[in-house]
Amino acid sequence: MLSNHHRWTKVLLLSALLSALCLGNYLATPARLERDIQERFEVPGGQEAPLQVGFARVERTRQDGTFHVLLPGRGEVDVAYEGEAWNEGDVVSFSGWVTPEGRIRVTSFTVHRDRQCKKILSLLAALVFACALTVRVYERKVRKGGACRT
Amino acid sequence: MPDLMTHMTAAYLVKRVTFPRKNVFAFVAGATLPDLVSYVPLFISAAFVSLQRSGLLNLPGTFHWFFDLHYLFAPFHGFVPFFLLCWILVLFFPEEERRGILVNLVLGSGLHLLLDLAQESHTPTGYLLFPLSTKSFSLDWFGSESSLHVAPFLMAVAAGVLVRDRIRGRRAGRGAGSEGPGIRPA
Repeated sequence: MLSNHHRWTKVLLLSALLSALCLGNYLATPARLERDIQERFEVPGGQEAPLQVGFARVERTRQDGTFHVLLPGRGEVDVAYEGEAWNEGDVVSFSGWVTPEGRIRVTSFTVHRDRQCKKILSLLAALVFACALTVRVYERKVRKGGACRT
Repeated sequence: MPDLMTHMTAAYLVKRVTFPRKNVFAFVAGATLPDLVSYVPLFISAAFVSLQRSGLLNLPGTFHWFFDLHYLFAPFHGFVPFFLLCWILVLFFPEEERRGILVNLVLGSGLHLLLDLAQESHTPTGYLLFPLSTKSFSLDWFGSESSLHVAPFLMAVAAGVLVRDRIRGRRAGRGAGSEGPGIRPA
């Protein structure tokens, strides 16, 4: 499994398998999310669980209290919520029901105001990781060079 | 998912406390890679959306291709795809080191997935059992931005431990050097 025997064949086969899995998910996800919505259209009275939407960006707010949001995997959708207003540019997660008009009537939501801070911290961590990796590679090369000289 | 800094520092401290002797970097890499891999498409899609909005790029009909890019790498938050990635990576290391690195990469990713599982999930991308199931699992023990309150503390402790180890390592090296030739530092 980990030996050098047919190493490049293993790398190629594993990469192909991994690519197929990822590509399959990428191609299948929008249809799966769309089916999620359609199922909630078909049985308006019998919906047991609301539609869960994560990290949607509020694109536009309208006078009538509805919002135009950009949903990952679903594109732009109209959302209605009676209560606290969202601002343009907010990132929100919410759950709600799909109305016959194709809108989502929000029942509960979270506004992710600290999301930018989280992104910056994650970016910093990625930089630290990249630096640590560079140092490791450099140390390994130096050690190898030393071993060769002796 | 908690922020990457929490994943990284938590992994470093857990490894340092449990089995600190070997492959610390592999363990930390295992805990970091699932998110790092997912960030690449996120940056591409964010850049594309920004370019579209600013009017610098206009490719009608392709918006979804870029906007949904993170679904391409979402499977890396599942055991099977991440194990395959680790398997590919370790094949580039010397043969005698592969087993240790693979074990640590997988254990590190296990810690990552455990932390993700404990957090509340807003996106259906926690595909633990992918490709058998695309169900997203979460225990909802803490919020998606709650890790920001813990991250500074973990960073400080991890930095402290790292600096202390470096100082001790140098002292040990110097001490061994003064004992005479042929004695290697522990």
